[in-house]
Amino acid sequence: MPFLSEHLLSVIVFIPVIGMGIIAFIRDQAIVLRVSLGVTVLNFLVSLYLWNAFDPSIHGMQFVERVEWMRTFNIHYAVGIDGISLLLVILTTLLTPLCVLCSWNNLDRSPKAFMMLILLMEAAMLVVFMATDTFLFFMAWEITMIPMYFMIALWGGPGRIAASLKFILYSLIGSLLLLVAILGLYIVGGHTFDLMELTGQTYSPTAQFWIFLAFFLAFAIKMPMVPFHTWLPDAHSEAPTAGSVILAGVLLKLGGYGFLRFCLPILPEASLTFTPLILWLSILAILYGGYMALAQIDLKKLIAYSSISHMGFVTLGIFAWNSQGVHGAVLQMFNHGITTGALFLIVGFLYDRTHSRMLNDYGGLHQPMPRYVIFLSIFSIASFGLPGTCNFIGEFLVLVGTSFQSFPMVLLAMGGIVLAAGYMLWMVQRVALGPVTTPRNARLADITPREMTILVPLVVIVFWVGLYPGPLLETIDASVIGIVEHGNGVQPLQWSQVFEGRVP
Amino acid sequence: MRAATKAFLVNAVADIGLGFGIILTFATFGTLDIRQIIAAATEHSADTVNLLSLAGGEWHVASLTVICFFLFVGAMGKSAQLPFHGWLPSAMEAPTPVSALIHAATMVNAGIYLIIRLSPVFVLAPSVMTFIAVVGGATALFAAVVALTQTDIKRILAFSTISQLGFMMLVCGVGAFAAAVFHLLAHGVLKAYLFLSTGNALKSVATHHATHRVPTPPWNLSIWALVFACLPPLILFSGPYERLWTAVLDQPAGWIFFALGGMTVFFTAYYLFGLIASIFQHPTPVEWDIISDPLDPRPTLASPAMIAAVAIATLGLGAALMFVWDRFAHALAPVLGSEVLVTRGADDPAVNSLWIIASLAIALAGWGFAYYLHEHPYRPPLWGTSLSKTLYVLCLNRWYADELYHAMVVRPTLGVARWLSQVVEIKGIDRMVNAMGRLSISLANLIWKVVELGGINRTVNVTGNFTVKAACWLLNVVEIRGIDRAVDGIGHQADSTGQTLRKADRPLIQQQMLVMIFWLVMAIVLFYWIVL
Repeated sequence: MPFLSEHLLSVIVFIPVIGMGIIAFIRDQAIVLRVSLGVTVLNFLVSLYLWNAFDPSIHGMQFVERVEWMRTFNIHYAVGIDGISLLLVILTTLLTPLCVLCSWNNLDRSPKAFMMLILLMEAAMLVVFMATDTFLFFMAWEITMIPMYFMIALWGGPGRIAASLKFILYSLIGSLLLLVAILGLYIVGGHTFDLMELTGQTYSPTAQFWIFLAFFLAFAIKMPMVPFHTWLPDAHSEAPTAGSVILAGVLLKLGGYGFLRFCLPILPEASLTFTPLILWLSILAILYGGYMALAQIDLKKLIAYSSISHMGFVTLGIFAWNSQGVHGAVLQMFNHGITTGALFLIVGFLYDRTHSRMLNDYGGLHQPMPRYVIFLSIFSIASFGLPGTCNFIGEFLVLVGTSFQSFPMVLLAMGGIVLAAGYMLWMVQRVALGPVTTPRNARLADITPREMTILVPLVVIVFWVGLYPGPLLETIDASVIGIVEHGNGVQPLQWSQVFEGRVP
Repeated sequence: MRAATKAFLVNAVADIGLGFGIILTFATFGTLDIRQIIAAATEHSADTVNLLSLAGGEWHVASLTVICFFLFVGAMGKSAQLPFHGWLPSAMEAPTPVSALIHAATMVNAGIYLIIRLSPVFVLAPSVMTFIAVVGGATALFAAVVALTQTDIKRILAFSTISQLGFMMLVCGVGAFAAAVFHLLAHGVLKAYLFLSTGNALKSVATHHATHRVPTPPWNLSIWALVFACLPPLILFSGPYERLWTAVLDQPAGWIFFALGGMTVFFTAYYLFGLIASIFQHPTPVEWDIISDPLDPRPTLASPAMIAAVAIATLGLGAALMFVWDRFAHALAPVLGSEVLVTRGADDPAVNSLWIIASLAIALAGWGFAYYLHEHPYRPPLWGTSLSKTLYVLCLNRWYADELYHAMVVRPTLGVARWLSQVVEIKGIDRMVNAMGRLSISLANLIWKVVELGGINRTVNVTGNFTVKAACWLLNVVEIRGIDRAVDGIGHQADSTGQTLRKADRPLIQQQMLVMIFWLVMAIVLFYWIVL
C-alpha cells in the first residue's frame, strides 16, 4: 500500500484518533477495553515498522508530510521525524498499551471515557514529537494537557482537585510562554511556522535572548527543573496509575525534546549564554530531587521526586552540548520513561490491592508476593543506574559529556547517583524486606498474569538497553551529531548587544 | 538487610571516586582501553591540572596523580580500606558461608586488582603510591588489632580479610606488585578454605560465638582443616614478604612500613591462634554447665598429630614457596609496572632467606605470645591499666566506626533530606507557590472590587447612563422636531404602533442601540483621528 507507507506518520497519529471514534460508539465496557488495547498495540507495531523503515544515516527529517492548513497565516500540517523523535515516538506507543492494560479493572467510573482520553493523549503526544510546524507543535502541546487534567481530576486520588488545578495552572503558564516564544519566532523569522526554515536563520541577540527565555521557562516547567517543579509530586501522587505512567514516561520528555528541537538549533548563541545557569540548575535538581525523595513517606511522591532528579541528568546532558552528553540525555529520556514508568506501574499494582501509598503501611512483602518483589527490585536498581541496566548507560554518557564542561559538576552529579541508590534501596528495604508487618500484608496476592504481561517487556528493555544500547544509539546518532554541530564555533551573546536592540 | 544496603551504599560512595577517575581518564587519554592508557601513560606524565581553578587559585597537580587518586578511592571501597571498611564485617553476616566466601576471597580483590592492572600508570604518581602504602598499612594494623578483640568467628575472619587486604595495598604502595598478586592468590585460596571450613565448624559447634561452646565436641575433620589452615608458617605467612622488606628498607620512611607490616604479621598470628584456641579446650572464664560434664572429650592443643603437621608443613611448603615465588615473579614481570623504590639485593638468595626467616620469626613470635596468653589467661601483660581498658573497649567496638558513620553521615543526610522536604519544599517553595496563588486570588478580588466594580463598572454605568440621557435628549429633540412630524404625516395607524413600541421597549432596545451607535461613532472618530 504505497499510500499508507508514504503517510506512515499520519497513519500512526490517526490510528488512536480513529480508535477514539470507534470506541465512542461501543457500549459494552469489556469490548471498549479490548478495542483500545488492540488499537494501541496496532499503533506500537506500526511504529516498529516505522523504525525498521527509518534510515539512521540521515540527520534531517524523514517521512516528511506537508499539507497546507491555514493558508492566510502560512500554517501547515507538517510532520517528519529524525532519530530523536523516533525514539520518543516508540516510547509513547510502547507505554500506551501498557497503560491501557494496567487500567483494565481498576477504574471506578466510565472506562470508556478514560480510554478515549488515553487515546487522545497518545495522538497528541505523537504529534508533538513529529511536528515540524511550530503552530502544530503548540496545538498538540496544549492538547496533551487536557486529557491529563481530566484523568487526574476524575480518576485521581483523594487530593485530586487541588492537584489537577495545580497541574493545569503550571502547564498553562508554561504553554502561554511557549506561545509567546513561537509567535516571537514567527515575527522575527519572516512570518513562517516552518521549523526547518526557522532553524536555518540567525536572529538578533535581543530576539534570541527574549525568545530563549520564554522557551526555557516553558520547557523548564514541563521537565520540570527545580524551582518550577512543585506541580509534579502532587500530580503524580494523585493521578491514576495510567496517568502517572504517561506523565512520567512521556509528558516530562516533552520538555527535553523542546530543548533539543527549539533551543539548541534555533537559538544557539542564547543557549550558550544560558548554559552555565542551566547546568547548575540541573545539578541542583539532581541533588535536591534526591534529597526530597529520601525524605518521602509516600511511594508515589518518592518516585516523583526521583523523576525530578533523573530529569536533571537530561538537562545536564543536553546543555553539556557535546556528542556524549546529548546522546546520554536522549537515551536517558528513553530510559527514564521505561524505568520510572515501570516503577509507577508496580506501585500502582500495590495500590490496587491495598489503596495505600504510604511506606509505613508496608513491610516484608517478599513473603506474600515474592515475584512482585523481584520486579520491584529490578526496577529500583535500574532506576539508580546500576551498571548493566539501562539508566547506567545514559547517566554515564551524560557524566562523560559534563566532564568536558566542569569536573566539580561531575562529582556533584555522582553524589546524586549515590542519593538515588540510597532512597531506592531504602524504599525496597522498607516495602519488601524484613518481617511482615501487618496481617493484611500477609494476605496480599502475588502478581497476576496480566500484570506480568505488563512488566516483562519492560524488564527485557531494561536489560537490553543496559547491555546492548547499540541499536538505540545508532538510531539517534546522526540527529544528535546534527544538533551538536549547531554549537560549533558559537559565541555567547554580549549583554551590551542584548539590551541595545529593540524587543521584538 | 541493613548490611546489604550498607554494603551497597558504601561502595556507591567509593564508586564516585572510581567513576570520576574513569571520566578523568577519558578526558585525559581520550580512550578507556587499558592497553592504550598504559601505552600512553608516560606521554601524559607531564600534564598538569589546576585544582583550584574554580576558586581562582593556582594549584597545579599532575593529572596522573589526580586520576590515580580517584581510581584508588574506588579501590578503597571495593577492598574495604580504612574509611570504607565498615561494610565488610556487616556483609559477613550473610547467612551462607558461600556468600561470605565470595565477599572475602574474590570480590574484595577487585580493588587490589584494579591497582595491579593499572600499575604502570600508578608508578608514575609517586605521591599516590605513598598514599596507598599509608592507607594500606593503617588498615592492616587497625583491622588486625580490632580482630584481636572480636568474639564472633565470622567477624574475626572479616577483620582478618580487611587486614590482609590492607597488607596487599601496602605491598602495592611500595611497588612490589608481583608480591601483591602472590599474596592476593594465596589469601584468596586460604580465605576460601577458612570460610568453608568455618561453615562446617560452625555447623558442628552450632553457634557463632567462639567463646561460647556447646557440648558437642568439635573433634572432627573440619576443625582439623581449620587448624591447619590457620597455622602461621603456612602460605599466608611465608609468602613473598622478603620482596617487601627489601623494597622498603632502602628508605628512611620505609622503616615505618616495615614496622607496620611486622606488627600486622605479629597480630595476625596472634588472633588466628586465639581463634583456633577458642575452639579447643582452655580454662573458660565463664562457668558453663557443660564444663562439669566429665565425659567432654575436648581436644587439647599440643597433641602429637598437630606438632607433626606443623613441622611437615613448615619445612615442605617453606622450601616449595621459595621456588614457586621465583618463577611466579618472573612470569608476571612483563605486565606490571616497574617498582618505585629501588630494591637492593632482591635477587640475592642469602638476603631473601634472611628476610623470610625474619618474617617467620615475627609470625612465630606472635604465635608464641598468643600461646603464652592462652596458657596464662589471667596474667596478660599490660592488662589492668585504664589506658589498655579504653583501648580494648575501643577495639571491641571496632573504634565505633559504624556508630560514627551513622551519627556523622547517615543521620545528617536523612536530617538534611527531611529538613529540605519539610522546611524548604513544603514551607518554602510550596507555600510560596500557594501564597502566590492566594495572593493572585486576593489581588483578583481586590481588582474585581476596586477596579472592576468600583472603577470600570461604575465608569461604564456612568458613561452608559450619561449616554442614555444624552440619547434620550437627542431622541426627544429628533423625535419632536423631525420624526414625529414625519410620522404624523404618514398616518394614524403607524403612529399609534410606533408609540406603543417606543413606550414598551424603550429601555430594552432603543437605549442599548443608541449606546452602541454612540460608541461606534466615537470609535470610528477615534480611529480616523489616530490613523489619518
